Order: sequence, then structure tokens, then C-alpha cells
Amino acid sequence: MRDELDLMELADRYLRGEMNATERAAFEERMRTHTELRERVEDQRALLGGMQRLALRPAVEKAYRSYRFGKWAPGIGGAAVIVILAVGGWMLTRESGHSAEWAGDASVQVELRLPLNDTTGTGLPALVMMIDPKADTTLLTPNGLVLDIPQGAFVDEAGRVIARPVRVTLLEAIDGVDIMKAGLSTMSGDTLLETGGMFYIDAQVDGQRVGIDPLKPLTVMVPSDQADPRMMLYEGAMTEEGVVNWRDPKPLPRTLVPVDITTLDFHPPGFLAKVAVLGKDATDKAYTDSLYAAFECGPAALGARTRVLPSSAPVAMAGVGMSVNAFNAQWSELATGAPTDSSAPFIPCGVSPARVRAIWNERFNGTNLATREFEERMREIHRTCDNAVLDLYVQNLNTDLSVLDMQVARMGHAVFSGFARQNVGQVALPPDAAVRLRQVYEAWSRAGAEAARRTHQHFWDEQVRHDQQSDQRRTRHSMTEQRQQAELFQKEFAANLAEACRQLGINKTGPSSEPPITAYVVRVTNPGWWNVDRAVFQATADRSSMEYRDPNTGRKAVITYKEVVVNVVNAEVFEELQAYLIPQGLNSYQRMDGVNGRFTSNRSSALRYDLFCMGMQGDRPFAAYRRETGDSTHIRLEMHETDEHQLRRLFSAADNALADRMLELTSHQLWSIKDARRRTSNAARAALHRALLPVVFPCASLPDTLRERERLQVRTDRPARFPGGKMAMDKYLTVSQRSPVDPFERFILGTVEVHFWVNVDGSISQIQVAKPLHWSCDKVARQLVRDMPRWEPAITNGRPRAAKMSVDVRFVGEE
Amino acid sequence: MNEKEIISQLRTGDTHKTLVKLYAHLPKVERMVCSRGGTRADAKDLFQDALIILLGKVKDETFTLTCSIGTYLYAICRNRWQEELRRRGRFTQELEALPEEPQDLAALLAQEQRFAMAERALQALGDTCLELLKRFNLLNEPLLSIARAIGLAGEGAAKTRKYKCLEEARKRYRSLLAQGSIATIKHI
Repeated sequence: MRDELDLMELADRYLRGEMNATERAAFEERMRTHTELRERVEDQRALLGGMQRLALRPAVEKAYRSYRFGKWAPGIGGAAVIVILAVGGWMLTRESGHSAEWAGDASVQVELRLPLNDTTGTGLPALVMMIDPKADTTLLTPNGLVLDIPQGAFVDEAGRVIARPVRVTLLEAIDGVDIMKAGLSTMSGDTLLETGGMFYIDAQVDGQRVGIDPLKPLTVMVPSDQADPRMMLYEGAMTEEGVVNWRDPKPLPRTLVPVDITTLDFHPPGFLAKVAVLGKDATDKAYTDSLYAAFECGPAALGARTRVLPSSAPVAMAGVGMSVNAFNAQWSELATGAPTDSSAPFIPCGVSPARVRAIWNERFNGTNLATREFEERMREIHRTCDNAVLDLYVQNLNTDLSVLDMQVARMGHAVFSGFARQNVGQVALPPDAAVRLRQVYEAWSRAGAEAARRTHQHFWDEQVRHDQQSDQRRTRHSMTEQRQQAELFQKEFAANLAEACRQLGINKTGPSSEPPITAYVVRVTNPGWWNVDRAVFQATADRSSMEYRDPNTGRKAVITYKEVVVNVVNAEVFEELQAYLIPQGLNSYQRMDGVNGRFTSNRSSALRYDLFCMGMQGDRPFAAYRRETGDSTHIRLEMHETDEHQLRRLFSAADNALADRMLELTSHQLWSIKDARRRTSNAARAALHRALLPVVFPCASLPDTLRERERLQVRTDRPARFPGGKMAMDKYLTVSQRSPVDPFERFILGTVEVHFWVNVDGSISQIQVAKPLHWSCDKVARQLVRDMPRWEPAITNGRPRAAKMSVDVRFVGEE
Repeated sequence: MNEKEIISQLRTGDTHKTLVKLYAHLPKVERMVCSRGGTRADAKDLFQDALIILLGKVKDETFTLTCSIGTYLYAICRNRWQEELRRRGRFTQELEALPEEPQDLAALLAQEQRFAMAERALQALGDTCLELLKRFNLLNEPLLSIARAIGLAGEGAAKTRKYKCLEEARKRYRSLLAQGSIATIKHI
């Protein structure tokens, strides 16, 4: 211990600068090697610093008191002043079970309900002041009480803001002596209170007491050395004995602690959870924000769901020599959805996301809104579905939350009275901030809503346009395809016939080029020609083998159709894989049937074929080409990435016209994939929107209203419909077409318009040919309509009804 | 009154009056603290600490200000509050930077942080100890007269007592240091 003490002495002397140069150098040298000593010196240096601080503290504290209590706050808001009002006095107190406890503490009290001109009864000096209610006024009393009077706080009986100077009287009792001298009690009924300060405020104009706008309460700060959370505000009432009874305690406003507003969650309750459930990334705030922003209440937003009907339009099947065009008006209308219904009634749906976004940003940091307490209220605000509630909070940033809670509760939202009981105060703002932020809020909510609406509208208008265009394009393409297939049939038929004739030794190279327009074909009796034609026609139509023996010459004609199977390597990585046989010299192509990269089709022995296959991998086209398939029955194809240039070169080697045709086919496929993706993504977008809608706009009326709208639409809008829609009907007509057809039809071009009734049960009756073409075509058209599957009847007012329909059956002849 | 006058006032003149004047900078600090999750009491503590730091600094004859005194006080408070917020784990975002930040603030505040801990350690000592240390270290009273003033037997007793007091304070200081950061200092 001796050593320690010596060390301490040395350190002391060193720090106090009492050593001479030699001693000092020696000591410093010793410190360098002696860790313990060095630490000791450092510690003592710190303690010395601490001691100095300790010594300076009283001076600083004393200066604070002088600053705080020594004078009126200079020059704030013009007039110095005081305040409050009509209810009389208030006392900040804490209930205390033991008088001893009370006796031990300094007490402060203020008076209450004194007759106005009789303040002398308490012996307390009254502070009386005229204040200008048109400006904010802050007052600091000699005892340290701070009184804040917001501009326009005083109102008359009718609630009108008072502009004339107001005479404010303030009494305060801050220490025990004052309280005793004033004869103020600290009793609440029989309970003894421990007081934190008493004050009395009165405000008058022309001798009349005035009221205080509940939205602009005066703020009183009673100085205290330590905050006791049990302190409550009591209202004082003068009893008949002339003693003040403190009653009706209210908790003091809780201090609001602002946090970073962007860490709070202002989304509607359950929004993020729902987003997560839907398989999206709910933790990505940028994403969820933009998702939320996409919602805007109003007809346009809701209309989108009816407008986006995902269309799974299959590529139309190729037909033989005939195509059908039906119901363009009705079908295309259904496919593009109902037009924007701007006349739809406004549906109250919930708190506008634009408003929420207007406040949910750094600008509102450090305000009432950037608090956990407001976050809690925000959830309930969403449940009220009332923008006015949110507006109230945002437009009164310089008002205690509890005051606003009360207002909202009075608007009929009971849950807010619970909030009001929490008695939460406000975050102090610089004088102009509230007004400025209010303007920001109004401007941003308007702009945000408008932008969301416009973006939304623009997007879906654009999509509707795309849908229409793509429907048209598909129809056009399927027409072209059908024409192409009809053409192929004719050419294949001609080739087969030529081959058969060659085998039979008949000098006939193809069907007559002169159309038998007389049409009395039944009278033609040359069986050889007829039979050959017929057999070859049949074989070509079915792509099946045939054998024909000429009864006159005994010669035989054989046309064989042999199946070829194509397997594409790695087929699973390609989308929209298609394989085509390309008969050489026919300037046409034959689509192969197949799935999963395995395609089959029959080849005619009368022709030689090339093979072409294409598919997409992402946005990149891949293709495979085999020149001359020969007799192989199984072909394995490997796909390679390609581009338009390569394809053109490939096909141009054979035939320029074919190249054009194949390129158009490829580009159509490319487009078709993209269009399908667009539709899928729109459908997903619409589905997400739909799924989130009840969360974002939680008001119960919303889903009902929507459902009602949908139901109405179904009831009124739905016409009779071929099962599966237009595409299904196209398919039906083209497929049915493959059965034997009068060969002469192929020479006839035109349209047969057939009218018929779809009965309430969906059956077809009263078939009429409204616009005939040729009797054989009319007959075919009539049969096609007769044999159609049962329709879905038209619905009016929720009930099926019979409807008269019209179908155009187009016959595409040789061109 | 310019900064030089204020400093010389603090060194030699009416410290009280000058301090009262300096409190005019308190509201700015209050605004800063209140808008960042603190209370007026927090602001007052910070500001008083800043005044104490300033008073400590002006004792040093070589001390010169590189910015206005208001900025100096505000910068100290701002940095300390930032530290406090970080400690509370609340705000991670930086408070706005000041255009004219006093130099070497970080080092100064680190040192003051240690002094503040030492102050707390000292506060926990008994009155006699405090009195003794104050008289010895700050007033430079001889041990003998100190012994007389606080009723000790003699110089030796005072010396031993001083040692014990200092060791006790040092022990507390060490344990505070070990706890790491220090809470906002409560005024006496």
C-alpha cells in the first residue's frame, strides 16, 4: 500500500505540474515502461477532469435558473401573455397514499375558479396580460411556467375565432410557501395529493369569458426536476366551504418520440402479409410501395378487372378449302372486354394510397406522423375507409393526437376514443411547418392520385389496344394459314393425280383448268376420270394410301402416304416448337402434328419433302432444316440458334416465294409468343390486383359492389356463345370440313351466310341460308351449322333466352 | 460581444452573466433534440455539459475558437446526441452536417466522455471525500488546513484519506469504463 500511495503522490505531482524538469523526464521514462503507472496517471488525469466538471456544474446550473426564471421570454410572438380559460384551475398532481411522502416533497399549486376580480383571496399575484390572438404567443412566468398560445386559439360562444386582444389572467403557485399562503388544498375528495404545480388561467374579452378551440389547445409546461409518470392533471372545483377540491384526473399527454418515418408501416392492415402469401417479395419496400401505389379508388381502377380477360387463343387449325368467320362483332367484343365504364357510380373503397404516400416520406419526419403512436392509428384509419380521418390528422400537425382522436371518435369511429384515452401529445414543430406540410400533403395527394390514375388508365388502354390488334392479327394469320393449307391441298392433289395418271398411262396432268361452271356434274358419266379423281382426292384429303385399278386398261395406280417421325433434340427447352414438311416445288408447307418434340405426318410418294423445324428459347429463335428427307421414317433434328437473315438464305436456296412465306410464319410465331407472354403477365397483374383489392380497400361494401357489377354484366351482356368461343368454333368448322366434300366446291369462292336460332337449351333450330352461294356450298354450310354442338344460350336479366344468330361460312377456292 | 470578449469574460470576468447569455443558444439545441426523439430535459443536460466543456477549455490560455461560440456549443450537443441516439439504437441516419464544424471535436468529445465518467464516479463518493479532493486538487489547499477543515487528525490522516478516496473513485471509474458507453449525464 505504501508503494501505491507513493505512486499516487507522484502521479498527482506530475499532473499538477509540480515536478522539476529532471524529475519529470525520469517520471515520463518510467511511465513508458510501466504500464500500471501509465494507467494510473491516465485515470487520475480523468478524475481531475471530472473534478473540474463537478466544480463547474453549480455555476452552469445557477446560470440556467437565471436564464429560465429570471425574466420573461423576450420577444416571442409580440405580446407576452397568458392564458387559459374557462374551466378554472388545474393542478398537476400525483396521488399519494401517504402524507409523509407528500410532506417530503416540494409542492406547487395553482388556484382555481376564483371569482375573477377576487384573486386577492389567495394572496397570489395575478399575471394579467393583453394578448393578440392573431399571433402565436409564448409566455414564461417568473416561476418557470411556460404557456404556449397558438394563433387563433380563442373562440367565442359560437366557435368563431376571436381577433380582438384577449385579456389573460394567470395565477400560479409553484412552491410550498405560495401554496400555504394561498390556502390552497391538495385534496381530491378525501385523498391527499402530491402536487407538481397549480395554476389558474382565465381569458376574457370585454369582461366576457371566452372559450378555447379544442383543436388548438393552449399548452402549459410546469417545470419539474424529475418526471413522475404517475402525475395526472386535476381540475379544481371550489366547494361550498371555499376549499378547492381537485377532481376528474386525466393522465398527462404522453410524449411522442418521433422515429424515422420510413421504418413505419402505413400500409393497410394485412397488406404485406397478403403480398407474401401471394408469393411476392414483401420485404422489398420499393416493390411493395409501387404495388400499393398502383391502387387508386374509382371506376377506372375497378374496371380493369373486367377488361383483362386472359385469352388463351390457340393457333387456329388449318382447314381444307374452307374457312369460317363468325360473330365477329360479338366475339371480338367479349375478347376485348367491356369498354371503360366511366359512368359507373363512385364506390367508396378506402383510404387513398396517394394520400398515404404523400405523408409516408422523409418530409414528415419529426412530426406527429413519424411516431409509433400514429402508425397504430394508421391501421385504424385504414379500417374507417374515410380519407377525411387521415386528412384531419395530417392537417392538424400542431395539435395533440389525443384531441384529434377525440374528433375522429365523434365522427363515429368508436375505436378512436380508446386512442384518445391514451392522451398522447404532439411533436413540437417550428411555427410554419404545419402549414407547409399541410400544403405539401394536399398537393401530393392530388398529384399522386392523378398520376396513379393516369398511369393505370394509360397502361390498360394500351393493353386493350394490344389485345384488339392481336386478335385481328391472329384472325388474319389464321385466315392466311387456312388459305395456305387449302392451296397445299390443291397442289398436293394435283401432284398425286398426275402421278396416278402417269401410272395409269393417261395423259392428264391435273384437274381441268376450266371450271365446270355449269355445275351439272352429276351428269358426267366418265367413270374412269371420276373414279380416279375421287380416289386421289380422298387419299389426299386423308393423307392415306390408295390403290386404283382402271377397269378398262387393267393398269394400276398407287399413291402411298408414309408416316415420318421427327424427334427434336432437347425439345423441352423450346417454346412453341413446330415442325413443317415442305413439299418441294409446291411453294407451301405442311404442319406436322405432335407434342413434346415428337412430330408425325404422312408424306405422299408423289412428292419429295424437305423438313423444317423451329422454336423459341426466350426471345431467341432456333431452327433446324433438313433438305430432302428421302425415305427415312425417323429423323432426329438438332436445333440451332438462327436469325431472319439465315432463314432467308436457307429458304431462298429453294424458292423466294417460299422464303417469304416461311419468314412470315416465323415472325408470326415470334410475335405470338411475346403476345402470349404479355397476356399472361397482364392476367397475373390483374389477378394480383384483384387479390390485394380487398386488403387495400377493406370496406365491406366494395367486394359486394364489385360482385354486383360483375353479375349485372353477366346478366345483361352475355350473348349466345359457341362452347369454347370463337376459336373453338373455327376449329370445329375446319375439322368437320375434312370429311368428303364435293370436289367442285374447290372452284367456288364466296361466303354463305346462315341464320339460325339458339334456343334456351342451346339447341339449334330454324336454320336458314340467308345468303346462298352455290347449292353444294349451301348444303355443306347448312350441315355444318346443324351438326354444331349445343350452344351456351344468351342470358338476359339472369335468364336464358332464345337468340337469332348469324354465321358466315367462307369458302376459299383456288386462287 | 464577440467571441474573444466572451472567452475573456469567462476567464476573468463575470462568468455568471456570460453563462446566462450563452443560454440563448439553448433553444436551438432543444429544437434539434426534440425533433430527434429527445426531451427538453435531454437538451438541457447536453447543453449544460457543453457549457462545462467550454468552461474547461477556456482555462487553457491557448484555446481559440475556429467558429462562433453558438456553433461550437451546438456542434458539441449535436455530436453527443448523435452518439446517444446510436446508443439507443434508434436513429441510424446522420444528423445534418454543420458548415463550420469545430476542429478536433471527436478527440475532445472522447476525452470529455472519460471526464464525464470520472465525474459520475466522483459523484458517487461521500461528501467528505468530495470536499477533500476538491480542496486539495482544485483549491490547492495544503493538506494540513484541509485536515482541520474537515475534522481529520492531521496531515498524515488527510493524506491516507485522500488516497482512499481517490482509489475508491478510481475503482468506480474503472468499472464505468468497463461498462462502455455512458448514459446521458444527469445533472446534480
